[in-house]
Amino acid sequence: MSLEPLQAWREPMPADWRGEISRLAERLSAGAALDAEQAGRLRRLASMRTGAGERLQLRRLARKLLALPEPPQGFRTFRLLLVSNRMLSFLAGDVEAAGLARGLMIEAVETDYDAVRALALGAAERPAGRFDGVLLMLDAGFVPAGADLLDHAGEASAFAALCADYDVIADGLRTRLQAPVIAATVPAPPELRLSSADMAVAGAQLRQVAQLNAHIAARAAAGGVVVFDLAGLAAQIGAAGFFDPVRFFQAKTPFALQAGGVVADALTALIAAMTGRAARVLALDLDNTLWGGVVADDGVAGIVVGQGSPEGEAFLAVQQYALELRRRGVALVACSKNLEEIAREPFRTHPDMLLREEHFSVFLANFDDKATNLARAAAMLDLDPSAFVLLDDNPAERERVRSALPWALVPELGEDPAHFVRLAVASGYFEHLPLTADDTGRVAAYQARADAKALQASIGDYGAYLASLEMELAIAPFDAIGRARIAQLIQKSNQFNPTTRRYSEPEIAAMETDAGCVAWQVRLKDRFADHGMISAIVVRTAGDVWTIEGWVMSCRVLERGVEAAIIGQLTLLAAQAGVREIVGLYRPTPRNGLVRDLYPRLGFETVATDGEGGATYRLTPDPASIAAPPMRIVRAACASAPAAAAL
Amino acid sequence: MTQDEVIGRIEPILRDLFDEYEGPVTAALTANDVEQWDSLANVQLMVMVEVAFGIKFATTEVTSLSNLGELAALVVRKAQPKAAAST
Repeated sequence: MSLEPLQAWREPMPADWRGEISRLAERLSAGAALDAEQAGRLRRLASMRTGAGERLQLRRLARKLLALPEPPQGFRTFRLLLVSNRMLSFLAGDVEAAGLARGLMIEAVETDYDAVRALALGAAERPAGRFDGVLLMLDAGFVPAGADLLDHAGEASAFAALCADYDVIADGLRTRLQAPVIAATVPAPPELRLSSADMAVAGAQLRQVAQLNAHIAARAAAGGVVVFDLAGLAAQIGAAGFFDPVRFFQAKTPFALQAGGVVADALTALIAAMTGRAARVLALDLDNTLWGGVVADDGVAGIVVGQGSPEGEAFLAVQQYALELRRRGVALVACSKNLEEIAREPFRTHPDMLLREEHFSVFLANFDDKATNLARAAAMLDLDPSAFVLLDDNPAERERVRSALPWALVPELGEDPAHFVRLAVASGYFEHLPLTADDTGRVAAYQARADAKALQASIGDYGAYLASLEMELAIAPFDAIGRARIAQLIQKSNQFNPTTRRYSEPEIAAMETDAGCVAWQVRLKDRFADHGMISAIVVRTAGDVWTIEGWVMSCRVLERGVEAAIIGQLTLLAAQAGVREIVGLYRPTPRNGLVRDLYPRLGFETVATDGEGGATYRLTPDPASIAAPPMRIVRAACASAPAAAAL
Repeated sequence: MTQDEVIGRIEPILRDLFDEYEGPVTAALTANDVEQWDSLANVQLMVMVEVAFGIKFATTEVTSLSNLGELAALVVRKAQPKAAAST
């Protein structure tokens, strides 16, 4: 089994790795929390090239973190239920250990061996508590053996029955656990491939496994499950090593325990994407990362890039990868120690370059420290350094950035440009869910943000600035089309989130038809870009008091009067419905200080405070009190009909 | 490689797996002596020993072991031909 290529992007451990982890563990055992610096260091230590023994230590540390009253800065919890027709206990520990490298404190809850159907159909007791996700990992044993090998006519209906069975299980788990189902594709063990003809033989298990995987992928594309491509990962590792028949017969483990670390890491990369923690920016060094040679020394004519030389083609592949990520909503940033004019020259004039100046959202070429430049780019894009991946061939630069910005993601690249892309992909930092229009349009939105900041600087009067943006705010009730993005927004908004109430996708779906609530999705456009869905609000409408139970907004549209406009529209609707008061709540967390004074700023009066920073506010809905918003407001027809039967 | 040398190399693996066990690691050690030594930990131990010594146990070999000494003796037998071939 070859795990090495899947681990080579990780930086090696320092000599005192175990000592550092022990000291963090002792601190937690003594009842102390981790400060921001220690939390950043822990994330970095956890992302290093660890062995099985180190992962046992990380798992114990993860358990200690879960016992803290609040996650350390930069971390969040994720409660995962493991469901399989095989023994997955070993993976629980690997997943909890692997999560730390991605800022996740995962609590992996095991279920009984082969309790899949009982759990999904309600015959077994539902594991207690709230889950953020359910991993459904079925192995090839789920596919029936012994089907008629010649019955081509009956194959389609037999396969339809298998898919229906799978869907009953996936849907049952989602409904019972009220959490998204992470569906693993099914890897085929070598023993299933009796002959190459198996792919063409009706009823052969190998053929059915391939078809089942296509079915899982189709379900994922339609938003029914989140797909985890375990079959693809097994192929990368090599099926001969991935499957361990001795361990299977002894302990019913679905794959070799040695692969547990890599499988767990890929799974946590997916969970990071589900929780909005995947990287959003690719920062690229230039010399010897995007082309061979040093442009300031060798000149544009002297750099190595393009068809005709193996090395030049390898660098082109890196550029191709960057462009492909950009198509998927990742912003590109150039980060080079160079004179700006010299650094820009190849993008302007070299005929073989695929990357051009316009592909970069931010272009920083100067002689400042790279960590300083990355922090600068983060400020320009309104993103946290944890959203940045740096590709840089220079180990010294990588080390400086990791030390100064412990949450920035900096994979090892090795010596040979031919390996750069594979290592970057293996890191899983750009893992993502099936794409939405919001994702693919995101790069334009980043660009717009940088442009808008420049415009803001040139326009003194803020009101005039807002007016110049020509914003259009579209408000609509929750619907099936917006569902996935609503869920994503609710999951990943920590700052503009006064109650930090996380709704699962099934709960969100239920609100689409719930007469006892007003649930709005809000989109924003301006003259620069379509920002997509930027806010969601859930208001419980019992009787003549409406309570804002949940409200999230993307921080990239702060300071634009959006929150006041939303409350204005809610006020209008509440007044029409004869509502006596609108109630707002604030529940403090370490991340949501931004909205501590949200309701007072919006004209609410304080009703009560709870002594722990939380408060309750009220507003009498009076249409006369609504100020003119700095934007055009479009309300979908059914969003204006009062959902409550308060009339 | 002697049985004692093998036990010496297995000890850090055991200490990693069974962090709450503070007693001695000798040939007489059994799963009953260590609270954390359950069936999952036993499988993990076998895999970690396989990786550490570059060997693979057969399906029947690990089910009949009664203590650490027998595991070490098995490792000595399995690792021997390899060591001989490489020297």
